[in-house]
Amino acid sequence: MSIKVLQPGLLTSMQDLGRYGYQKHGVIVSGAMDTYSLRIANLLVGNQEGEGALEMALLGPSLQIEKDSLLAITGGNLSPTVNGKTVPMWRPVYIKKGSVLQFGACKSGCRSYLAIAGGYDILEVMGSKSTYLRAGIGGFQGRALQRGDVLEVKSPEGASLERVEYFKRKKSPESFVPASWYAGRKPIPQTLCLTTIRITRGLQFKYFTSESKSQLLNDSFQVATQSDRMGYRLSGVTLQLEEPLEMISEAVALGTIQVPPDGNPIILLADRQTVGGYPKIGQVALVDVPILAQVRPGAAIRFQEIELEEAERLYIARENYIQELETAIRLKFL
Amino acid sequence: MLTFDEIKEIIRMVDQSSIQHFELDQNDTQIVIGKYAVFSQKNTLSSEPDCVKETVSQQSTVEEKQESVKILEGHEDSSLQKIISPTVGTFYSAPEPGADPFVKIGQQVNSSTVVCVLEAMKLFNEVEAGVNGEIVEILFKDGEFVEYGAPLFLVKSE
Repeated sequence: MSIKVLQPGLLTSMQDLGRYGYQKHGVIVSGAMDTYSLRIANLLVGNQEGEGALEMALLGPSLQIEKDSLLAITGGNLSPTVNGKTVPMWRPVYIKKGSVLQFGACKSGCRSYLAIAGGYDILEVMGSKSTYLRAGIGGFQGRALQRGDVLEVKSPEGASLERVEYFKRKKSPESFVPASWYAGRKPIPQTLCLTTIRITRGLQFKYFTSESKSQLLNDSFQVATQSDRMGYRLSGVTLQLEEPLEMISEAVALGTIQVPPDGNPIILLADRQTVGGYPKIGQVALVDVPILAQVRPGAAIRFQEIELEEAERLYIARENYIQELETAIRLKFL
Repeated sequence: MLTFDEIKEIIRMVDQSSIQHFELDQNDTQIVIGKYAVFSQKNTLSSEPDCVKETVSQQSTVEEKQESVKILEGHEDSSLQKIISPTVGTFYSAPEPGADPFVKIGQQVNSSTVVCVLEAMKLFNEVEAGVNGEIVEILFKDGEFVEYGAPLFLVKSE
């Protein structure tokens, strides 16, 4: 027994980096909306970066930690506290057994991630611990957490065990012991800011009217409240095609911006369908998907066009950054 | 390959630090930066340049000393204590851009109050005051590079 769910929060689910390799059979990828935050959370506690972690949206859960554990909270700030005292984010935190880890009001972003040293003891389904909510596949019993659920935690090994031992040696009387350092800048949009998302042109960009093309890049859009893990619906100007376009459904990707006949674009996210038949006006650069995933419904975004080469360069720079961060964290425990 | 801006940044960082010699060898790029104006006349035979060298280097030590004396003279009060940097890194007064600073001048701190963060290798290291008292001076600005052992804050003890 390791973590007991006292309050489940709005939508708390087990996620990892996604279920790849089965889209050809119609099985969606799922996985964390903000994979950057999930990866950093895992690296902080010494796990493999793609280990399963809890994704908590907008209103976080209340969890009873039933065994001394090393955890890390990253992503949006949902005001985490242990026994009423604020817990710092983006760093390893050693929490003593019996403590209650509670999340409160959403201060920035909208999704927080909780990784635990050793990882949650969750059976992989088709190679992934992610929860595919609509189909009830994977994660914790194929669903979001509910009150009374008990999450088992695997015993830490290797790097994560060393880190647990490191904090144990501090013998602090407090109910939790945070590291005195934290990981790099967080690309988390503030609640009310207009967030700029970089995109490349979609396959059917050329079929849109020149007015729509210019509006896509110059106007701002509001993330509608019907948005979910499958995609963000945008409202604002409606985007029009030069003439109606009959398309055969084709593959869609993470961050694809498709435009249904009503002209309101949809950005496809973690729980996206595998194929789509709507024209695709744009594609969100992969490095900006984690930023977009932290934009909460009701907030506004705008698009900035970049070239594919630039998107690729940003992606490589991000991966290099994460690798260097992993090394830097490892050195902290030597 | 490093970009021109990256090279400029490296030169700026080295220039502002007490590093005298810096070498970087990355793939096919090699950069050597040195600050040895003082020692540049080494290959002359006469004893004169050696003297010059000596005097110059002595002068610079004197200057350095005077500087640190100056800092202290302003507050000769023996109740002033320094918060010393426990590491090297880039100084930041707030946890993230746009956030409130950890401490302000006039603020009371105790030994466990976090007063700033120093960024080294992409991690932000919190610096605790280590003393009790009131912050009277902040000796670094955001983005400045801090050496190990450098005084970061002056604190007036109670």
